Parts: sequence; structure tokens; C-alpha cells
Amino acid sequence: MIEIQDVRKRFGRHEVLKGVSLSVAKGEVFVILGPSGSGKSTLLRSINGLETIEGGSIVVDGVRVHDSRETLHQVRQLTGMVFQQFNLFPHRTVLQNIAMAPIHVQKKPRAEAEEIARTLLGKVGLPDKANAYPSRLSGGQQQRVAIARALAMSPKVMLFDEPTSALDPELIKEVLDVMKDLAKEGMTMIVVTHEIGFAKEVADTVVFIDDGIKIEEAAADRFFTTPTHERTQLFLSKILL
Amino acid sequence: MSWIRKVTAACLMAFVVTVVLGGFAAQAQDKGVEGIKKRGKLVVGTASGYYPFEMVDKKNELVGFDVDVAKAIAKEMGVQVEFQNYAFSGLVPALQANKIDVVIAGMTITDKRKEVVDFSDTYFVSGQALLVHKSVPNVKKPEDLDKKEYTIAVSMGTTADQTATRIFKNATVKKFEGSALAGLELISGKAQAVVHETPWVAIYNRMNPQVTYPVLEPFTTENLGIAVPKGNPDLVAWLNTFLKKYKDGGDYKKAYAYWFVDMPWWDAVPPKK
Amino acid sequence: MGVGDAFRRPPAFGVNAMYKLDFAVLADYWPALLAGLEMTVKVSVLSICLGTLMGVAGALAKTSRFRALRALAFTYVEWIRNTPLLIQILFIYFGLGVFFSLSPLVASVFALSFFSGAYITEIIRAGIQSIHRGQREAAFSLGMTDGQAMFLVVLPQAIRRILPPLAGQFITLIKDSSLISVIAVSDLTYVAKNIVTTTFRAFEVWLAIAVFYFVLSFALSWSVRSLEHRLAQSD
Repeated sequence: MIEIQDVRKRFGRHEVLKGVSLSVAKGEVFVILGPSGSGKSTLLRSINGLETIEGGSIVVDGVRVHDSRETLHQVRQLTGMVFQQFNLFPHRTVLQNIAMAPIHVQKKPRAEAEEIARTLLGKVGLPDKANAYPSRLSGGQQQRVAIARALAMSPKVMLFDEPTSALDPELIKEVLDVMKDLAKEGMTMIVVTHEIGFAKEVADTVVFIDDGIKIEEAAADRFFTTPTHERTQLFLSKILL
Repeated sequence: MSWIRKVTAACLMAFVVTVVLGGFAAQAQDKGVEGIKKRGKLVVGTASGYYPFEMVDKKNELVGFDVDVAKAIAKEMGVQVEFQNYAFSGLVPALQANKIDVVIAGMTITDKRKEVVDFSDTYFVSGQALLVHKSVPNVKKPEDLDKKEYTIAVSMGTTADQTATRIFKNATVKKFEGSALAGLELISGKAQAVVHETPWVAIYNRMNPQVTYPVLEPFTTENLGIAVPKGNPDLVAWLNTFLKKYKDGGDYKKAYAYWFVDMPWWDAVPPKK
Repeated sequence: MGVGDAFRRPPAFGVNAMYKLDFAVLADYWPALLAGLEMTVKVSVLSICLGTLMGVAGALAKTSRFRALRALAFTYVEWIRNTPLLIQILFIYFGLGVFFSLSPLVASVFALSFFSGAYITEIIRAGIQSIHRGQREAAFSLGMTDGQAMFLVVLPQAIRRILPPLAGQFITLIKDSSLISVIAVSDLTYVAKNIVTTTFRAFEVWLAIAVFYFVLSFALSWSVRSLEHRLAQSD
């Protein structure tokens, strides 16, 4: 589904990604771990073209992401992204937030788009919040709306950029539950996160990135039980309680 | 927070004290000839642009018939002369507010003006004339221009303004700050004529002969006088005595010949575009 | 020359005891004043609308991908901001008037629109740039185009934020419109000057004019404030 080949990226003089390659299969839950500044978010954001790359290539469902404005536009309709800061549109209601892209990008009629939106709201557990404004919702609720908003475009891949890092601890579970349901339904997911519990439970593959280089990649259970690389072991020792 | 209050209070106090003290000091100042002599200078209000009474030469100095009169007055009083240039419409208010001692600006003596200021005797007699755009030929008198589609430009607040407003019933009268802008409106063809006094019309036409022609026969009589704030009878009397001397003497004839007849100053004054 | 004289002559710094107030002059010229007010309102409203359009265009140009557009907008804004409005008005009416025939009213609206357009460009641009980058990223990640992201997500939020400085600019425009009196547009200031030069009632007339402008500006700022309140209900 997603082929990332030898991707290089620099910000000014600082090289953030130094030739990373990975591939994600359809239906796979792919977790990316790493310390801050490792380039993991940058890598994720390159997949839907929010970041440009200086070298290598990224292909999503057969479309080369960084070829042209047209391919970029295509890829963004194939992928959905959930941000650490939620990024809901504060000037629109929850329902309008979710329905906006289907109406304006997919040109669906309003009634149909709102139907889809209501269904998704129910799915993330917030059926009665349709006419509320985002500022009235808790962090966990906002993030669930954000997930629904991304799902409204029927993406083939969902990208999660530290989706729970900005949440109060007691609100994290409700978001992870939605993500787990999504995984069970067979959605292809790439998740950058610090939630090891989630990774252990749901991930198919885990990759550890440090300083712009892929250090280790393995099936989830093997990754957590027998990490081979020294840096991986160091990292895991620091974050596992 | 309280130090801000203290500073504010101190500033306010300083301000009030200055104003009050300044008021007392000012009350000690006199007006009239005595006051001018005491201060050592005569502050003359004028409105540059009225050829050839007051205008600015290439060295950016104020010159003209009125300028010569003002300088002669100051010399006779034994004081310096200081000119303050205003838009014509601002001269009477400046006099009312005592910002200037006298106005020498080709100002006509009118009853309306006499309600608020005093005048010396006449020091020059002039009359309103017309400067007409060549696109309107054969104009002989103002009535020829009184048509709905015509625009007449004047300098705001002058007797030309009042005359034009009075006699033009159909044409539109547009008022500008200063004869320079009124002239500009004429040159650009947006106005068909300017009403102003004969010396100005003659000179402005000489500066722009391609587009304008003058109708110099004056259709009003304008007695020009020196304006003085009300309540200064001694100044008025002094000026009248001076003017009599000046008019009878040779200086007046010389000045008249210089500014109105021979015009050797022509090249030194840049034409107003 | 005794002490008594000090009381007859007004002190130099300006208390003129001989000026008798006469507000009746306002009643005499009331129709003319209202006509001037109407002209000021007309010119201000037109210029505010046109200026806002120019401001939106300018802000979009300044934040666009194309360097040529950015340079054009930059030049426009710097030119306007660094020359006095009076000069701009005279330039457009008398200067450009050499080549095109512009009526004073058209020249005034042009000059005022261009003028406020430059300042509004900066206000809207600042508003756009104050919107968190994440908003645009979310819009893009949903597949929206640049234009959709701007008009559906960024601008609506930016407009709400810039209402106070925008109102300030509108009020400045109403007050600055008084300058068009120099090209003989019959606005409030022109009418006032006319009355003052005819009646010499400088204090009464100018006080009244100041009150007129105050009422206009205050009415505008009050309506913008209620607009702000109405939009804030979604916060």
C-alpha cells in the first residue's frame, strides 16, 4: 500500500531524514517509535505531502506523492490525518467540520455528507454533539471528532501523528479505543505514538527511528520482547515502566 | 500603580501652572503699536499665490507689492518683519485668534469682514476680472459664462468667491484653497473660467497663454486694505498715517511700476503650474 | 496706559472676550450641512467597500505562492504607506488628471480606496498569518485546494480576529475623507469651510463639524462591536 524508499529531508542545514525506507501493507497497523527530534513526525507528514522531500520517493496506493500538485491532491484524498493538536475548525460546528471535505472536495450533496457525518459521529461515540462547536468539547472528544472528520473522506490509509500526546491522561483511553476499533475493521494505519500499551496490543509492525535513521523494524511482539539493536534497547528501557 | 498616578498628577499640575502663568504673562503684553514695538517684530499674515502682491521666488523667498508695503511698515516702526503664510480663508480666523498682528494679502474691505476685523484705509484699488479657457471663446462679461454646463473656479473665502457665488445662478462655482489650485482646475479644462482680481488674471494668463485668455475689464471695484484685529484703534490710526505718507511719496510709485508695469521680477518667480 | 488697559485688550495666548457665540448660524445652514454629511457618508461607504476588496486581494497576493504577486503587493503597500494621503489625492486628481479626465468624486473614491486598501492589506495579511498553521494543514490533509483552505478555513477565522483593527481603519477613513475638500468635493468639511469663510463663525461651525464626524465614527465602531459580539457566540 505504501512504499517509502530512501527518503531524505533537511530543514536548512539540519538533515532530519537520512535515507529511510519502509513499506506498509494493506490492513497493517504500523507504529513508529522514537525520541523527539528523531524525524518520525516529519516522516509521517511526508506521506501526505505536508512535508517535501529532497531525496527518495514515497508511493501511496500506486501514486507517487511528490510528483506534482495533481498527485499530491490525489494522495491527500487517499489518506486521512489526525493531528496532535486536533486542528478542528473552530468556526464551524462538529457536524460541519466532518461534512466539509465531502461537500467541497468530493462534491457530495449536503444531505448525503451530513448523513455520513452523523454515522461517523455515532461510530466514535459522540452522536449528540453534532451541533456543538469544538471549543465546547473536551480534548478527547475533539480528537474523536477529528478522527471522524478524517474518516469522512473514506481514506485507504489513516495517519496518526501522536494523537494522544496532548491529552489529559484520563481522556487518552477513549481515543485509543476508537483507534483499536478502526484497526479491527482492517484500516491501514500508520501511528506515531508514545503509547506503548497501544502498540503492544494493536500494532502489527513497529519501527524505531532515531536521528533520521531507521534503527530497527520488526513484528510487534518480537520488537518488544527481543529488540536486537542496542539503541532500541536503551530507548525501550527508558520508556517502559 | 500609584507612581503612575503621581507622575500623571505632576504633569497635569505643570500644565495648569504653565497655562495660568502664561496667561498672566500674556495679560501683561500689550497689543497695538506699543505691543508690536515691545516685541520687536511685526507678524504679517499673508496668502502667497496672489500675483503680484505676494508670491514666492526661485530662492523660496516671499516677494511682491504687499511684501514691500509690509517691510516699509516694519522699517517705519523700527521692528523686524515676520511673514506667516496661510490659506486665504485662514487669515481672518488667524487675526481673530491673535496669531498675527496684521493681514496684508490683497484683502478687499467688505462690510461682512468689518464685522469681525478692522481695516486701514484703502491702499490699492482693484477689481474682479475673468480668466477664461480657450474652449469657450468670445466671453466679454461674466453673464456669458452663466450656463449650467460651465464650472467657475475661485479661491475660497475671497471676494472673488463671494462675487461669483452671487452672480452665477446656473453655472457651478467650485471653491479651492488658494488661487493656485483654482488655476490648475482651469488649465486642466475642468473649469471654464476663474474669477479673480485683474493683476492676478493678467499675470496668470501670461504664464499660461496657450490655454487661457483674459477678460480684464473689471466688473467690480475692490478696495484693498490692511486688516487688523478689533480693538486696536491706535494701530489703525498709525497705519492710515503711514499709508498717506507712503502713497504720496515716491516709494509707492516705484513699487507700482516695478510690480505691475515693468515687471522685471518676471524671470525670478517660477510660474505656478 | 494703565492697568485698566490690560482688561480691555485680550491676552496674547488666545482668550478673546470679544467673540460672541452664535449657534444660530448652524440652523441657517442646516440643509447645506446635511448635504455635506450625505456626501461624506457616500464617499466613505464606497471607499470602505472598494478598499476592503483591494485589501483582500492585496493580502492574498502578499501570501501567495507567486513571487511576482508578492512583489506587486509589497510595492503597492509601501508606496501608499509612505506618501501622505493629501499628496495621493492631489496626484490622482490634478496629476493623473492631465492624462485622464477624472471627476473629483471619482478621484476621491479612487484615492481613498487605494489608500485604505493598502492598510487593510496589512491588517488582513496579519490576520491570515495569525491563524495557526495546523488549520491549513488539516484542510490540506482533507484534500482541500489552496483556495478552499483559504476561503473556507483561514479567511473566516482571520476576519473575526481582525475586526477591531479593521474597524479602526474604517474610522480613520471617515476622518481622512475630509481631505477631499481640497479638490472641491462638497463633503462635510468643504461645506464647513464655505460657511466659515462667509460667516466667520469659526468656533461654532468647526465644533459642529467635529460632532458630526464623531457621531459617524462612533456609529461605525458601535456596529462593528456588535458584529464582533454576534460572531463570538461560536467561541
